[in-house]
Amino acid sequence: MTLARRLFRWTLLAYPADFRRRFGPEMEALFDDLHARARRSGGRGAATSVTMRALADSLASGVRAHRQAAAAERARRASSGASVGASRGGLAFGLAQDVRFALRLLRREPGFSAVAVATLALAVGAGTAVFGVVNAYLIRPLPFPEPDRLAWVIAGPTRDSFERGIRPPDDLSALDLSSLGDVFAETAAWDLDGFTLASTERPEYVDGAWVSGGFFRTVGVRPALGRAFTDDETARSAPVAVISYALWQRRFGGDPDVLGRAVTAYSTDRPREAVTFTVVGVLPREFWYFNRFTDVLVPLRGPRAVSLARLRAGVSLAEAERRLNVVARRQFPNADPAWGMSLAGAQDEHSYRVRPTLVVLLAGVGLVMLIACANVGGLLLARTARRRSELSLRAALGAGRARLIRQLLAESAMLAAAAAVLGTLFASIGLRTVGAAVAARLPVEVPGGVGMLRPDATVLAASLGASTLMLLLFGLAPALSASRADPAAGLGAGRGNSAGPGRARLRGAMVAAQLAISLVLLAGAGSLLRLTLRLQRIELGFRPAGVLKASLLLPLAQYPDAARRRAFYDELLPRVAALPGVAAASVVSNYPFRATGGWPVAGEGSAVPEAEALAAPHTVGPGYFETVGVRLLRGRLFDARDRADGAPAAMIGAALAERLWPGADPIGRRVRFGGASAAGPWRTVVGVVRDTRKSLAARQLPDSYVPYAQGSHAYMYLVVRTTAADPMLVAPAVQRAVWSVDARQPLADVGALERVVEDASASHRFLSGLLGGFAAFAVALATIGLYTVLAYVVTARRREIAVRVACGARPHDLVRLVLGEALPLVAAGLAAGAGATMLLGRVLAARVEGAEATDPALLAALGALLTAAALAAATIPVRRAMRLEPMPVLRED
Amino acid sequence: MEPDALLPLKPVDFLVLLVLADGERHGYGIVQDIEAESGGSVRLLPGNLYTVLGRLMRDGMIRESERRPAREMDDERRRYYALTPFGRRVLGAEALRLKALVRAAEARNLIREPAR
Repeated sequence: MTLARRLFRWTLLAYPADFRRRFGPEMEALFDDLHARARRSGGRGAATSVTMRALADSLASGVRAHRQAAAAERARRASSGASVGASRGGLAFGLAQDVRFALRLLRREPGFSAVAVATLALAVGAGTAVFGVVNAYLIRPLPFPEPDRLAWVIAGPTRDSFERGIRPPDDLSALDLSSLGDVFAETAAWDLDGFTLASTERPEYVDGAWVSGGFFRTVGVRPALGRAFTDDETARSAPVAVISYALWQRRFGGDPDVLGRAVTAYSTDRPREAVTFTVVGVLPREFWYFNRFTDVLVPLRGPRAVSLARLRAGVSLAEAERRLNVVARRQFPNADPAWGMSLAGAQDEHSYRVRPTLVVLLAGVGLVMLIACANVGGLLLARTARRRSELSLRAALGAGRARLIRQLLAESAMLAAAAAVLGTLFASIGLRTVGAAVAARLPVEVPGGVGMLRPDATVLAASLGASTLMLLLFGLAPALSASRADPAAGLGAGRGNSAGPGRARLRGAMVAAQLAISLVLLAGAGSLLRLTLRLQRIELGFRPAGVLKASLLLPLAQYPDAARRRAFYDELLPRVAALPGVAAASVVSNYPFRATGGWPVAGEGSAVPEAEALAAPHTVGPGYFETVGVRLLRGRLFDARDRADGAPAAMIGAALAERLWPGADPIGRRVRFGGASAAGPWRTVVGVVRDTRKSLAARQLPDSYVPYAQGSHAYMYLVVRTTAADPMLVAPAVQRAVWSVDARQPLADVGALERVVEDASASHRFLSGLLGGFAAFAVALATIGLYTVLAYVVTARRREIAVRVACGARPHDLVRLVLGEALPLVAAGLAAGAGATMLLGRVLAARVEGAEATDPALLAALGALLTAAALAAATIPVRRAMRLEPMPVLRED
Repeated sequence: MEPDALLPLKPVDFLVLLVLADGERHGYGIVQDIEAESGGSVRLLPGNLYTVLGRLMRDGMIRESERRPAREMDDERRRYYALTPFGRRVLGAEALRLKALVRAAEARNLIREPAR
């Protein structure tokens, strides 16, 4: 039986027995029909959705059916005048009766049931949604055949070996793996590239790659239409192309006659090549290629180091890596001794950067679930205390301890079941909304695309497992404690003091635990928030607000020399600047806040060796610094003097000036970009500008600038300072301006510069926001938990309070009495929380880049906040104690 | 009991009676016909449908049909439901009530067909 069907069958327990006997099989049949239909028309997603809705509907209808049955029963009795009596006598036996009794009790206290179910459902929902994201990234296999055999080939001993200065051999692309046929079934190499697709009416820029012949077999994809490259086509790098489903739909309208069509494309990385490719295949719609979405695949030209391998069945990653290194070492005997190669599992390589974030989120939501358990457990304890006489009566009538435990657990199980269904419903909505928002802010894409964020069998099973575990956590302690009911106690004796010391301790512990967990969550959210704020305060060195950036590639086949490219920009920039809503426009080889490699800089008369003076290269058009808002510190900006035939000029950032000539005036000194032996000329420094940020990392490359007239590139970014509220509003006009100069040139990578900066800190910001939400939920639960305990204490000790009031106790004494109960709990909770926070803070600091271990001052502030919340929770019980009229209470017995 | 005592009907009850007026249906058939009748806006789920059927049977508006399809033709868990004469009268009375309301709305020129 399928999981969905089994879940549905369980919900039938919510109905009265005769209703279930009469309609149960039919309802299952109808459920099967609806499930099958949804599956046929909308696939697994639709089937899951209809299952969720049917489960929720069935539980709700069960309650309705009970109400209907009760109403019918009342009507029947009223008409027949029959006496009220035990019609179906006997004490309840059997699970169904427990369940029915539980449902009746829970219905009788709708407020309590609603609060308990809502608390649990929110926790289950949040937990399931977060787990759904974790599942999509870390657990569910990648969407390839036998994905566990796919491995990335890394040209270094570790992922960070390049940063550590371990360089692979220059001619690594010559590495020959043909002797490793028993280790690798297939290997693939590629060279990612972008292409401008030529067209008379709609030129377009798309992502693409030059791929080796083994690519399709390694990844395990077959074109949905047409074919992959033949070995012959790969061997001679024939001008054929396989295109994506999306491009086929977008550009060819899904025309099946696309095969054999010719497409002219200009490569970005090989700008001299304008190639007319013949389309031979279309990839399947659902094909997902890591996060490098690829619209055009063409046969690789020339050798290229292997990037991806499919291991032979049964070969382990470690074994393959060992064999690979033996071969690599033999073929490159002169390589750096520290160098080696490594293999990484495809899923691990795709997701390792998001793993820490996801683990932190999962831990946070786990704490929320714990606190929900403690909270509902506390509520149940209070409730069983109220029901003491009922339980005693049942014990007196011969119900054994096991029987009582089963009865109480059945009630908890009903709560947990309702919470599981409702929570799973929340989760499937939350996964598509919040989950998608989380994924959008993570640095890597959801494997298989964001559509894969949906609850599958793993997620449903985890949700059920978590609900069961929660049931044991919050249900067992109250059940055990209540089952110790003394048959004599509830009936006559003692209406005054009630809960035994053991039970009171248990409830106290639950409240303390909630406070402790709240503190941990608050501290986690707090330190992430501080990190986020610190990142937002970082000086950028430029003003991104209102700036639009877009890349523009002038193919060398169309613009073979610098003069023609310059003429293009000289014509374009005034047209863009004249557009309404545009204040200034320029071009740059690399816009600010875009990470790049550095080039060595030789400074005339500098004591610093050029290899230690790396700088980010920028080639800038006229008006660049004004357009992006970089301030001039000394000297002058580039101007009309810096012509192609003028004296070679350079501008540098303040950090590079300080590095090359500490304390001296750099204006008029000479630099050579690329190093003293580079081909370029010695340039005279004419101006120094503020440093600009390339990322949020602590270490930053300094800046170097060359005027566009003296060093043109084929690939430039257009930067436009707009006066519009959203710079994207100007984008269509900018594209039209480009087309008015040359109708063949599309803009690509169009976006607001401010967005680029925001995105860099988005995952931190979002993580701190989510943890903050969890923490707020936790604090609210803990405060409510403390309140219920104190309110209960005041009720339980009302005789004592009444005696004290009658004897002339002052308000002050009553405050002390209530706080005497509250403060030890708060103190214990805060102490435990502080200890856990110190411990977990170190874990967080190790996992999230830039996060610091917990700051004692922050911890003290949050402790004070929680204490204030606890005092607020205590005020109502205190006032109730003060208003107590002593005489009626004392007369109660 | 007079049909008027049961008015007004819940919209779902009305739809169920309406599709059963065409002939006997099993649960899935009722769900499909109601979806078609309502242009897809009313999609009944098992719990809801059978509590409605249970109530309509209790009030004598529908009954279970003796019809049983050949076992190899159909799911043997399915049962068929039919409108009772009383149910037909209730349905007619409700339709009459609705018609009067619609007329009143028409007289005030409130009904605009959505533009096509």
